[in-house]
Amino acid sequence: MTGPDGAASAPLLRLDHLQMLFPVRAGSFGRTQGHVHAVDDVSFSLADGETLGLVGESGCGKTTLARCVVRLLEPTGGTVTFRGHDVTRLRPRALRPYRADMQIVFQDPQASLNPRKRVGQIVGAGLRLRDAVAGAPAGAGRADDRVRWLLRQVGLNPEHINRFPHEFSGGQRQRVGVARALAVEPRLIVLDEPVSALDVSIQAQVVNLLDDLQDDLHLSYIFVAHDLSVVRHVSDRIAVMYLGKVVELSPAEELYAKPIHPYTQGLLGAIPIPDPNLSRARTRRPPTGELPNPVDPPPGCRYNTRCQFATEICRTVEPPLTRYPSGHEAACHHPLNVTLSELAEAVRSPLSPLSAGPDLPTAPADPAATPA
Amino acid sequence: MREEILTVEHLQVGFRTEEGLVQAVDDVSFSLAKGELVGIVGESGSGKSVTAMTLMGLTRSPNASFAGRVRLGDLDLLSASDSELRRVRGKRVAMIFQDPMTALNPVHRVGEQIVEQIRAHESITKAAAWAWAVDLLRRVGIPRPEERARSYPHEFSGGMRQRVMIAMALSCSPEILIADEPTTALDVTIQAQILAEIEDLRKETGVGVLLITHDLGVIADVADRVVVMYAGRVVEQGSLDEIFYDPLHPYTWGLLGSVPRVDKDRPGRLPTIGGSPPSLLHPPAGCHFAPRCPWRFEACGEVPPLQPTDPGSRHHLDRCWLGLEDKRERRLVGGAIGLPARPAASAVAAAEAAAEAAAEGERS
Repeated sequence: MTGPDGAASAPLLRLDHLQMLFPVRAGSFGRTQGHVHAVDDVSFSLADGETLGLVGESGCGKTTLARCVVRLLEPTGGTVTFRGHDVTRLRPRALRPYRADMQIVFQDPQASLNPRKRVGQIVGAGLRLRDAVAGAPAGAGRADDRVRWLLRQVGLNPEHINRFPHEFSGGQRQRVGVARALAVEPRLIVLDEPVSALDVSIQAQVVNLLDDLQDDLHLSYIFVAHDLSVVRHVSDRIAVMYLGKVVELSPAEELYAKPIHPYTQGLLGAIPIPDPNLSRARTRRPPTGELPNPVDPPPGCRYNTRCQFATEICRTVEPPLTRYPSGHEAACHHPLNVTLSELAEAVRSPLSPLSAGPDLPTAPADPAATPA
Repeated sequence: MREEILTVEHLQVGFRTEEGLVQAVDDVSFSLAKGELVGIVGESGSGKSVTAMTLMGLTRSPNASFAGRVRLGDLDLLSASDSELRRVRGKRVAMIFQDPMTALNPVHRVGEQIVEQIRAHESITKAAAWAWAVDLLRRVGIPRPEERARSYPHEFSGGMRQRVMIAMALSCSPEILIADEPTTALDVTIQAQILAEIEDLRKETGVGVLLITHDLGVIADVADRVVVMYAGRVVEQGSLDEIFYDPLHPYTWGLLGSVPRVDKDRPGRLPTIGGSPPSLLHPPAGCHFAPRCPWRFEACGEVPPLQPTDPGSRHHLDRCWLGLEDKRERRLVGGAIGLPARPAASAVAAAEAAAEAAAEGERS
């Protein structure tokens, strides 16, 4: 693990002003009517062995971002730098050596495993491909040994190598997905909602497995999730996304203790607490309303339509990401949980979007502000 | 005073399949009172949804077999005829589902769908029913209801669609609302809004709500009483506080222990329940939870009865052979309620790891 900004040494992965716009076509000639701003100028870096949690509501662009990172989507702008090499525009053949280093695990283990292939074939496919690329002799027996070892690594019975995906439970299928990702010895695994489809008791098993694998194999993770309770257990840092932008980026524990962006606070407040007394005592102010249309995002701060602290500046000027002394960054004109001295020491983060305004926040949010 | 409107007694639901009989619901009993919110909590395959669907007669098929009684007033819903059931569905018992997109008809305007439901039970004109539908949409917090009633389901967001479902469910002022994972497909912020909506309606109309969920946080937020299900059986039921502060079944301990919390310090590892739920085709003999339970002993080979362990609280029932003192002592793991890792299993894993290391050594 490195320092809070994750960029102390050369990072494993760096995103600079990454942008992914999807055209919206309409009419019989399919003319482009506008663009969905799925990921709009996002920058961050990931250190070797680090886990970055990526959190936000559906439609915030977290999955699109995850797919851009592993080049399942071609970003429309910005760059992805992996191990010091710009891989954003590499052609498929040139990209191949990097592909083995970046793997992805999908949300739905049912849909992401070929139902007609045996587990051995699914997990071994990457192995065989990689050996073919490297020109090594692809001995079937050797691959099988390796698959058995992988199955054992993820807590499955190696004797089940000839089973089909439907013969496993949901949690076990997700373990198969993890084994497949591990097969080619990646450095980075992008986990796209890896436990959202699983039951609570099984969720915990898979999260613990991911934790162990990271320690044993020195992996880096980008862990995408829609709520803040699971990512907390795996993340070193957490990025909160809203409508295509990163609104807050913080060391994991700080985010829960002192959320700076009102959206983060709202997300935290909306998570139900499994304790009736605390639940009754809590005054909740979950964000009202819904996500605005990403084709035509609100000007200024994108959260202003739902924010109880929003003022005129929020509706006109996009807030820059501001780095506070603790290493915690947030893009908000009216930050919460910061002192005046912290504000005085705050600097504009180099990760700020290019379109952000020049001015840093001058005063903390007014706690007396009434819900919008 | 509880005024019971629905009682389920020893409900059994089995499905004959090619591989054999699946006993999806095995001896489930609970009751729901007017204005009460009962939460049924359990993991996938626990039988919670089958229970709910059976109340509405939605599991009837040539391959299904039923036993027990489900009483709504003086009507037994298990033996009711199809025409009797049709009068109950939507009118006396309404249901909302997890996925509002598949529950709404995509080719009809939402207003029309609500009108259809109203006119199936009430003899009023189309115009009056339309006005009523618009009123309901306004009631559940849909902005510009006159306009939105003319929209199609795909023009709504997930949260708004669930509001439409609630409006439809309420259209005939039912006595009971069954909500099967109503917020599972929604974001947490929208979930909070929908739960608040259900709470308001309950206070306002006195509808009894049966909320089925896998999320203990949701339960803690809204439920009066809780039924915990595991592999087709009720393993524990009691008041909200009894389940959260005095849980008496090891499965409940495990469930409470494995929920990731945002309001507490993070543990080094998330506590888990070892193993996975049994197949209902070949359930274990005796207690269904025994194979995963670190506290199992000889008695667990027989099915424990659902009964009060604490003579002081007659309505707090559980299905476990352990004694009260044992339970209150063993449920604490490091000061919090949970299940300890199974000592036997870790020993097995260690032995496997040793054998594995030896095998690796030979290979290299």
